[in-house]
Amino acid sequence: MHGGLAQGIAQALWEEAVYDDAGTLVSGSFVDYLLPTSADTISFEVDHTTTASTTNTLGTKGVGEAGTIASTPAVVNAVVDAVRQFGVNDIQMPCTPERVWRAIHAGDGDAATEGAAAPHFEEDAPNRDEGAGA
Amino acid sequence: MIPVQFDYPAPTSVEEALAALAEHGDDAKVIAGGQSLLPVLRMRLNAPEVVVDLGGIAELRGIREDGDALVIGAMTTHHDVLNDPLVKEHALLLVRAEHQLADAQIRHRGTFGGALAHADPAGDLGAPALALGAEFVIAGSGGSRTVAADDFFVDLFETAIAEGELLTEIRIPKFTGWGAHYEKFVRVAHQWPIVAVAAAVKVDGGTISEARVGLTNMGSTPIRARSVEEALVGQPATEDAVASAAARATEGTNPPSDLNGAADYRSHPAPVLTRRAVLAAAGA
Ligand SMILES: Cc1cc2nc3c(=O)[nH]c(=O)nc-3n(C[C@H](O)[C@H](O)[C@H](O)COP(=O)(O)OP(=O)(O)OC[C@H]3O[C@@H](n4cnc5c(N)ncnc54)[C@H](O)[C@@H]3O)c2cc1C
Repeated sequence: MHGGLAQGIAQALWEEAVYDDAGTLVSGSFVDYLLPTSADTISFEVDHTTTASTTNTLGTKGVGEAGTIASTPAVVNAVVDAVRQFGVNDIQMPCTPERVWRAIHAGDGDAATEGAAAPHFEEDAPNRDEGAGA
Repeated sequence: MIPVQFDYPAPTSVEEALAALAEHGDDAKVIAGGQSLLPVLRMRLNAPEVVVDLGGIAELRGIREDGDALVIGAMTTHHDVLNDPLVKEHALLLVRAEHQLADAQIRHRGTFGGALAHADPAGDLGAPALALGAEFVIAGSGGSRTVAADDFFVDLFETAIAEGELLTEIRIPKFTGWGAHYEKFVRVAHQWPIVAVAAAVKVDGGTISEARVGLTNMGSTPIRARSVEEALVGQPATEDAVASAAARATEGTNPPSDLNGAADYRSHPAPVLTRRAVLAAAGA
C-alpha cells in the first residue's frame, strides 16, 4: 500500500519522462527522472474497508493499485486547490515548482492552462454528500 | 554501464601521484571518492586509460588549524568535515552545506576536495567555499601554489587545477562566532539543488556587521552575491531589512536552464532563498 501511494504521489509531483526535440530521452537516469525515497514521502495511515465484492464468489477486490490510482489526483487536486485563488484551474503533471510558479503568474488572475478540462473545483457546487443525500 | 578498461595505480604519496600524472599526461585522471567520476566513466562520457587513486595518500586526509585558518585535506570525506568540531567552531557554513549534500552513503565516500575539483555548478560546496574566501593549494611538478577562491572556479566543471596537478588542501579563514545557514531548494531530498544560497553573518547587538553570501547554480560557477553583502552591512537582522537586501541576489547572475527549471524561473527563488538563508544565519 505504501509503495502504491508513493508511486502515485511521485507521478503527481516528480516522475517524468522528458524527451528533447530530437526524440532523445533526457531524463534517462534516476537522478533526472526523480524517484522518491522515504525521505520525500509522508507518514501514511492505512485502514481497511470491509465491503465484500458481489461480483465474485470470494467477495475479494483488487488492492494493489488502490493507492496508486487515488493518490495522484488527490495530490494534483490539492496543489491546484492551493493556488486556485490565482485563477489556476489546471497544472500538468508532474506539478514541478516551475509549473506551479508559471501557472500562478500566467495572467491577470486567470491562469487556466490552454486546452485544460473544466475546472476541478466549482465555487458553488453542492457538497457531494449533500447531493447524494438529496 | 561498464567503464572502458583502465590501469589503476594507487600511490601512497603526493609525489608518487604527481609522477604518475606526469607519466601519462592527458590519458590519466585522478579518482578521489569516485562519486562523480565513476558515473562519468560508467556512462563513458570520459574514458581515461589510467585512473590514479588518491585513496591511499594519508597526507591528503584530515583537518587542522594553522593560525587564523583551517586547513582541510582534499581527501577528507564529506562525513568527516560534517562531524569535525573545528569546522563547526570556525566554519559553521561548511557544516550547514555538508549536512544537505547527497546522503550518508555518498558523504562517507565523496571527498571535500573531489567535490570542489569537480566544480559542478550545482554542487553544494562551491558557494560556501567562495563565500568564505577559501584558498586552494594546488601541487604540480614544479611545487605548490595557492589560488584564491575568486580565481579557482573558471567555468562549468573547470577550475584553476591544470593537467598534471593535484588539489592537496583547502584553507578556510576562521569565521569564529559567525552565524551560518545553507538554504537548498530541491524537488526530492538527496538531489543537487535547483538553486541554493550559502550565508554567513556576524551579528552585533541585532545589527548585521559583516556578511558573506554565495549562490549555487545561478551561473556556470558559484557566485558571490557582493551587492547583497554590501546591502546587509549595518542593517538590523529583521525580515524587512534582509528581504530588501536579498532582492539584489540576481544581480550579475546567469542561471542555467535544465530539467529542474528554466533560467527565468531560477531568478524567482534566488532572492527568496537568500532572505531565508540570511535570516536563519542571523538567528532571526
Ligand atoms: C547520487 C548522488 C547524489 C549526489 N548529490 C550531491 C549533492 O546533493 N550535492 C553535491 O554537491 N554533490 C552531490 N554528489 C556528488 C558528491 O558531492 C561527490 O562526492 C563529489 O562531487 C565528488 O567528490 P569525489 O571525492 O567523489 O570525487 P571523484 O568523483 O573521485 O572526482 C571528481 C572529479 O574531481 C577530480 N578530482 C578529485 N579529487 C581531486 C584532487 N585532489 N585534485 C584534482 N582533481 C581531483 C577527479 O579527477 C574527477 O574529475 C552526489 C553524488 C551522487 C552519486
